Amino acid sequence: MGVSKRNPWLSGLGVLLAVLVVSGGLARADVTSDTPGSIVIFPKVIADGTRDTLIQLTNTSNTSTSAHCWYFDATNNCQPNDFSVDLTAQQPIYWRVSTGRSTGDASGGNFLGNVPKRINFQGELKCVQVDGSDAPTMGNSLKGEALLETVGTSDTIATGQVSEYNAIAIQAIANPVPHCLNNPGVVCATDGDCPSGDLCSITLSLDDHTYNACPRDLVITHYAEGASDIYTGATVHNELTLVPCTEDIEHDRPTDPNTSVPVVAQFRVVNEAEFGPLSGAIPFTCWLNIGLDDVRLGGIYDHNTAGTFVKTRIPTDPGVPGVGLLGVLEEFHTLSGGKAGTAAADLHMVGDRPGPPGGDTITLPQTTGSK
Amino acid sequence: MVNTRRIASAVRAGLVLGACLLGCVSPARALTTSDKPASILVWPKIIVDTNSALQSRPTDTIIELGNVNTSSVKQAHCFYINANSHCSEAAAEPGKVCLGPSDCPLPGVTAPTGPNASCVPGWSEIDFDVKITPEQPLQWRASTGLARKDFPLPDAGLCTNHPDQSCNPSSSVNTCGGAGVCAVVPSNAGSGVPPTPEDPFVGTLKCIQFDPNSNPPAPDQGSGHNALIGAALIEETTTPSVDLQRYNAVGVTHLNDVESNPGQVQLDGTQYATCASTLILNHIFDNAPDPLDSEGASSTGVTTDLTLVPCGDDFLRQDPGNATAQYLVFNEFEQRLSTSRKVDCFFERQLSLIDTNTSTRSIFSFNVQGTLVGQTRIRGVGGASTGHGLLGVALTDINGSGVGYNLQQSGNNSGIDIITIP
Repeated sequence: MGVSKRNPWLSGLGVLLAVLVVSGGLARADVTSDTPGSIVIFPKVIADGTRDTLIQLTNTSNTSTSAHCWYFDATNNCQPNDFSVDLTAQQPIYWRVSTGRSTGDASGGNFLGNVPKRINFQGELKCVQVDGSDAPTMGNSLKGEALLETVGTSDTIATGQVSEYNAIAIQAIANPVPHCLNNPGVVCATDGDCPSGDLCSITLSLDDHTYNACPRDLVITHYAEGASDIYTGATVHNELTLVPCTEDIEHDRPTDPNTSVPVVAQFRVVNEAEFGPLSGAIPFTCWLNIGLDDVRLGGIYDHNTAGTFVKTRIPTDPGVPGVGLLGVLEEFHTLSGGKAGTAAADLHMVGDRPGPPGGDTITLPQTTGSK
Repeated sequence: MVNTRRIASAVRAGLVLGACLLGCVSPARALTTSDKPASILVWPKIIVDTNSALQSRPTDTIIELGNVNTSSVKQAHCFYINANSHCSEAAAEPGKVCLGPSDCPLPGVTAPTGPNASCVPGWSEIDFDVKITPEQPLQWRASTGLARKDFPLPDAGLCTNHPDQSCNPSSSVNTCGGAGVCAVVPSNAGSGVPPTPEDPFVGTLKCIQFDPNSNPPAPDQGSGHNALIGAALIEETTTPSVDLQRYNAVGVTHLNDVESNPGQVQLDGTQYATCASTLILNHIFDNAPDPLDSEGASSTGVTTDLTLVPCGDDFLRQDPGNATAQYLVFNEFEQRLSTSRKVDCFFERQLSLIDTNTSTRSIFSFNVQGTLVGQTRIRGVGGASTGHGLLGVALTDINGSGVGYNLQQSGNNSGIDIITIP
């Protein structure tokens, strides 16, 4: 009978691997709303005549950089519309979504870019940090804020009510490498490097290897629907906005509802008395902006059921690719006959969704990186 | 054989180097956070002024606190830090809460220009405990607190034969009667939130996750750490309207169970995350017109109010943290201007009044900068263990409506901040 002999080298290797795993686990940084990153996501952008949005984007580094951005118009199946801006060292820039902004405008700044104006727009804005050739790069120096304001005088919410949230930033860990779209193992520089008919494409992998992975769960505390504010007595309404982490801009998914695979936002609600969890689910393909009194949620947020104050957890399966979510919550407090008070909040993010087998990806169109 | 050894040696060296690199990287990523559960939560700005004695409108703050752990009760040991200033004994109303000397006229003086007594800065703390059941969200008004009986789950035990009947599971007397037994249930028993010690009140709330089973009480350094989330909703009423300013509490994550001074919490990148070396505030410059006001003429301008608090505090000796905040202000032309100001326990000021008393002459003013938006980088500089890093929040007023938002951050503070607990 053979006796297995412990190999000290292998034992040491095991220990080192364990250290690597532990250290790697600690080393990962998560998607955040309070540190700069290489991908900046504004989940809720409105310019529909009733509300407008001021976007602020800032370069926090001492070297100039650029951002390639996409608006995803949820009123049109999230049709992407892209533009680029250049930012000098430490430069803060802004634009109003309904008017856009161009180089040399009269607003007194040093703006370098051409942001198209968006009208009747509801959707998402996503910016990817790129180098001089328009290729994604791991600068981790972009941050942003969105200021939503009700405009005009004839709207239902009334003029002057404002909400602000920090854009969600995803940090890069390594520079993404282009590869053939249908042959992911083949690194390429041009389409000619790929098998016939295949395209050289850039996929941003949110997997804790190239970019940080999206959160496993989103969590937030908030009033129930129709609850009375404990100080003002105002009636509270909540609006939740979610966007998928995974986006395939190259193939117009989720632009094409026929080819898009919907993600499912699951809601688990617990109230102050630990009643619950109540649960609901809504599938969507590109942008979900719902009142929490949405009939598809079956009244789980109704204050008559849920009480006054609740916590919402929106979980995802970390082992399933492409189902990560990001979002913001906006609340509206209304007294009879008065204008609503509004406030937006970044959701808390718990855990992460490393890949593979999980993880999320953003597939950029072939033109990116070809400037 | 030699080659095999060389390869093995090289591989081993590579693995050691890799482990070192990864290990070295991890502490650098540990920063405070405003969107993750944590073991220490800081609400930099709590305002209560229900009679609008100092604020222009009646104001209160709703505190939100939640436990994201799905299986166990968590305890938050919290400190209200009262940063009110008070009129000196020479004033007509000694001890009155004041914002400045003009709130403290001398006896018999009615002229608004004085002379005045002094407005003396103050700092004091009160502490309390909140136990939060798994996944439970809690909220309370800062002005009224939350009495023990008003917690949603006040009963530590319920009778097995009468589930609606509360009982004391630690009592030797069975009050359930019959075959009933007093069963322990997850509850808020032992919790109580006092009202803020004054109204008006301005100050900070800090909560540290404690181990509910520890005796004596001690910070929770177990596997269920980093379970707390929080937010604040500052509400102003102008009947029939409401104005809301919301921000997330700033969190400090627990990293490792480290044997240290039991009365100290160390924000050193080993036991707890460090505070950031730089806070980044993006803002519209003060006095700028509202960029989204379609009608223009109704615009009364934009101002931003900044609140900063030191990361460390000595609650044992009642010694507040202090540091100097250095401000670097960039406009859209990449022009850089700077100023600095002391942060002594609690700092709250309109941006354009940080460097001058004449707002339009400030480096934070649209009149001086010439562009709408700016980036302000704030760096805490201090030598004491309670004053290396800073935490903060910004509230912007646009045409009389406010928004709150969290500051962003960058880089680890090289100093160690310490919170000393009584």
